[in-house]
Amino acid sequence: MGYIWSPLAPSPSGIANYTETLIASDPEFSEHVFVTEEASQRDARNAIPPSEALISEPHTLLQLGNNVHHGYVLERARHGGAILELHDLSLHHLHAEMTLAQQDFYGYMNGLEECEGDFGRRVAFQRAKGFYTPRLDFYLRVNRSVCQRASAIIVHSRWAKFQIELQGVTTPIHVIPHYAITVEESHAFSRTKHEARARLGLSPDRFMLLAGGYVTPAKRLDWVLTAFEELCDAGAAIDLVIAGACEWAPARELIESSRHRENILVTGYLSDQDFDEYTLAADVLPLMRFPSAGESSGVAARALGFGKVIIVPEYAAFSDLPDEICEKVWLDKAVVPQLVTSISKYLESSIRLEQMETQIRSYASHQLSLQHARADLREILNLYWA
Amino acid sequence: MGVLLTRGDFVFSFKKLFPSLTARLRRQIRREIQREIQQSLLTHAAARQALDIYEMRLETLDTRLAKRIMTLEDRVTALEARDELQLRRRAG
Repeated sequence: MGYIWSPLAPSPSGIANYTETLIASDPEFSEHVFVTEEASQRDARNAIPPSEALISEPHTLLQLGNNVHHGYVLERARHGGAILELHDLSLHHLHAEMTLAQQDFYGYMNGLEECEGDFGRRVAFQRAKGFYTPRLDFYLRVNRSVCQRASAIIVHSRWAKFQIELQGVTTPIHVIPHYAITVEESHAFSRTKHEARARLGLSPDRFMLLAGGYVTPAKRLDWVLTAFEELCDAGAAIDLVIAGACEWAPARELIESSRHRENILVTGYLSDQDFDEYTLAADVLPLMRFPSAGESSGVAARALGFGKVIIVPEYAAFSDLPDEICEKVWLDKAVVPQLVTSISKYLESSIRLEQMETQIRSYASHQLSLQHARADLREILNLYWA
Repeated sequence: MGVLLTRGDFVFSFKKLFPSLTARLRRQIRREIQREIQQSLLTHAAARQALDIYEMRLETLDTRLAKRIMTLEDRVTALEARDELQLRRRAG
């Protein structure tokens, strides 16, 4: 028996969803106990609240992300001796939320100094004086000490493994690619693209681009919008669906001022079920991301499981994806023309789109299946908890 | 006998004596400030964009290098495995 520290549903954290799907819904993991902070997440589950007594428990798996829902997991990770599944490479945001946001400057400084040395301490002082750019959150990851103290680390990409090794961490690191659930395993009501479109009231014939997830500056919606407008100007019958909350004002302005506004649908926040329906209804998903905190993309994994064509930058965790199952754009060249070219390939040939979808489905069902990820996790747990 | 004028008196008198000139000066100063703000914002946006492009180039280079190293590591692992197999065969 082991203890799995992770937020669970109804927590809005994507990692809660990950743990639910991968571990909580598998009877083979039923012997393990979940450790969650919120009482609402413990209903009808084998779950207990975190406590001092659990800290020394050696059979512990920590699901750690970079948002406030993982504060108690980070506290536990600092004590070391546990298997650490790192969903975000940078923990800077969470560290700042747990220290600076609580008026604990010295806690912030010590954390930075411990991981980044003298440079980290100086950065902390500069931040206290008001000289700071949030971009530093991506470079000063504040993860070195927790990684070094863990008994083993699990990440979702070889890129993330490589980055941790570059920091001089000597803990064994294992890679379990983010699982890609199939349409049948998902929450979607529909089973085909046409069914999903009919259910959502979308046109069955028009080509559909889907930009999924909560809109942030890093999602580079401006690139996708410009590419979309260029294609519309060229006479393509194409719709853009932004499936997620869009609260970032510059992105909203861009959408509202688009010369093809009538072909853009902004859904706002969607439930898992609705998000699955929209993903199933889409033809191509441009998933731009820069900068990246090294996180694995749940949207990309979902799309691959559904056999959808994704366009990703050749950068960070996305660089792990084989070129045969996705379209890639290089960030050191103009991105918009590359996006236009990639989308046009599938816009012009439905046969090519179908062939690629089949190829992706086949890869996802063999390499990224839920069963595969569960088996990998079980193997690692057996190795360290035996 | 002279009268000592304070700064306040002067400003008051200046405004009173030359109201249109005061208004013109104010407008001119406001325009200057606006122009400065605009210039700073443009400089900031341009610098931000330039930094973005620079970072993207750097990160792409980093990704290329990382992939190259990983490919080489894979080759080393494969070669080591092959060597081990050959050694075992010879020994067997």
